[in-house]
Amino acid sequence: MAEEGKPAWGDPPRVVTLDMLWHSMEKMQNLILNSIQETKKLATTVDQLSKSMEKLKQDLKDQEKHSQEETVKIKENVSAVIKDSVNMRHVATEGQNFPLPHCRRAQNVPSESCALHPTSQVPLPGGIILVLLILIAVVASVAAVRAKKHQPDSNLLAVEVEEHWKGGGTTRNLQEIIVGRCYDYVRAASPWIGEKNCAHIWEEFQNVFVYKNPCSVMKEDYQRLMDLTSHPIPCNKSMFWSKTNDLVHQYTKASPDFVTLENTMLGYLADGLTWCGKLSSPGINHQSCPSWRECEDNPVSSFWKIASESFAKASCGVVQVMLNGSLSGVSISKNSLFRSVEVPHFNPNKISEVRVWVIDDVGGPDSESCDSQSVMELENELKERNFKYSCFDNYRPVRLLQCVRNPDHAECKFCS
Amino acid sequence: MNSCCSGLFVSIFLSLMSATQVQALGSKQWNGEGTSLNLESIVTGRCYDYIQTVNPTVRNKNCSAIWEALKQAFVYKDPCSVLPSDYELLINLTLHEIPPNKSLFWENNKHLVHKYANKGLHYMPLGDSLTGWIVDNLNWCGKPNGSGIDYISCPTTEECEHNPVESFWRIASVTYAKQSSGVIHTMLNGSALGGAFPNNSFFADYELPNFQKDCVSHFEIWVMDDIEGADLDSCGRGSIKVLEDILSSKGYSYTCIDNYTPVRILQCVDFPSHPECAIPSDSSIIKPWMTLFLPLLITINHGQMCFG
Repeated sequence: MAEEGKPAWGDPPRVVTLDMLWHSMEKMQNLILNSIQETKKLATTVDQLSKSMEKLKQDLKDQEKHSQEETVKIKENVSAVIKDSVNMRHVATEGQNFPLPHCRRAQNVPSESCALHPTSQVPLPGGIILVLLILIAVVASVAAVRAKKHQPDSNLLAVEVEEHWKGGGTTRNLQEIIVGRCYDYVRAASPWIGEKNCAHIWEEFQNVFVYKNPCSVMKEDYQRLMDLTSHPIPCNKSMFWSKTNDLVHQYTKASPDFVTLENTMLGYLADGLTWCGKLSSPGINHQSCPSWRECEDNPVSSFWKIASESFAKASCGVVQVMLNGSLSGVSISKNSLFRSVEVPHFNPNKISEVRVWVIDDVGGPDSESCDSQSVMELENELKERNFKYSCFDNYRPVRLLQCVRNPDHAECKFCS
Repeated sequence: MNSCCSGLFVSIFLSLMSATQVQALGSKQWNGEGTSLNLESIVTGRCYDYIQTVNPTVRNKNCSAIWEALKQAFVYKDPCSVLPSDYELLINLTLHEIPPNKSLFWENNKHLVHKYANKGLHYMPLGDSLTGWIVDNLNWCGKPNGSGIDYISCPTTEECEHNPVESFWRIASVTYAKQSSGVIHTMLNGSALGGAFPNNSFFADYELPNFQKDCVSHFEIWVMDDIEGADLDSCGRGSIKVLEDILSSKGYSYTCIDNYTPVRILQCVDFPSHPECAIPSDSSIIKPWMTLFLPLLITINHGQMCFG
């Protein structure tokens, strides 16, 4: 039908087609010329921008110089006043005659015009010190306001001073938390793993990232930490997870038959914490850390990559993985840590079977289940590597745990 | 050759006699376990962990001051003369609001209570408040000489009442009860041999007498039997009756529930196929292949399974 519309224009003769070709070539020429002009304009804008940047830099330098000069002046004034006050201690009467009335009157008067003259006749030391203090405050605040005004125009300069990332900064008191968790794990949670040197473990941990560029911490950097914290994982107990963080850990707490990475010593030390370094003192960035999107080789991502890898390598017997069946989209995407890092490090000589649990939220949508595409892709990947595979939708013990919080939901009613 | 060998033996012997072993050879004065090793690191670490990750609504706590306050209550002191009042500073430094209706008291089922409370997210028992959190499951006591801390042994409450751990939990329980408001939840163990509401328990002696009448609206008592455990006590019977009478005499309203369902379900996580734990299975679990075997399964397991 659409084809039929076209002939209504009539078949143009060949000469006209050449004509049209000529026209369009001319048009193209115009376009090219235009774009050249645009590029030139852009270039000049860039030039102007860089010039104004230079100017801004110069301004900032001037400003600095200026405030330094002012500081020097003020210092001179202060010392002069002190000298005067020492000389004139005997004339100590309460102050009525301020020497610089214009400064008190007009708050908008630029600070420099308020500079004290060392020669001013100063009869009242107490009052003068007060005036000086006020002046210093005014100078400082004006300088601060100016500096602030400059900031938005000179983002580049700001970046040089302080690194701003999109992720949250290093957890406060990281050292105390990690050392405390370390001893807690060794003494109270899992004494069977034997003695560990927690001070040494912290040393190795901080060596990886303190005073380092937070975008170039590689997973291999954690090798020594891994060696110090390693302990055997009992067979048949490993529990992997993807997008079920809360549920899986409630479950391992309720049913200590299973162990997630976060229940091993290494994962326990770092669970829920953030850390990254910076090149300037104190070497730790408490303000912000790079997110995974900003750079892949950040300290936290690299840590969890190597930790997951080693947990997968150490697992044996039957292993399980808990997936979220209520997510719209894929339960287990190709880029998930489980599929991209853990499965490739499963050792076929050690692992006999992989059991997948796809758990929906109680009353939530049943978006994905064992026969969904992403889960079946996972199934194929595992079967290709000769792992025995099984999959359970809403595995009952986990379902029970979900019902603790939703006892009145229809899916949770007791039979009796 | 000989002197070389004997030197070697001496050094091996000395290295074997590490600090702990020397201490272990020393006299064990008390019957209780000694102070938890690395107490300072654990307490300080837990304190920062609590305010940074576990319960960030609690702010402005000085964790080093908190450790100092704990230390000054028992280090270099006779471990039989530490009084609850010695912990007043520590209690003051760790105090924070217990949200109304979130208090959870218990006897004889600590593990179940803490699984249910979920680190203060669902309920906030004393052990999930900062005061309890920093020392839960730890042990400590002092001695007048040496390092001032006894890592070998600590007195049990039978040996002396005013020992550091007992005194701490007494004042902590009293304070926790005084702070609690709204509906007060209490989880008791109906299978416990000494009774669900035993005499001389922390709940009976330090918590029940200290509730603030104006702040408490209602009591809810859950009597949980162990799954496959004996049903020794239940609402309106035995020691629970005693508790109910005490509450009535004090003018409190209360509800008593046997085997409160949400907690029962939590117990079932460890016994998913126990008859008491049957809930309807999700209909989505019925797969095409199942339709073949389902009737057979139902016949075999009738009475155990339930397909709503």
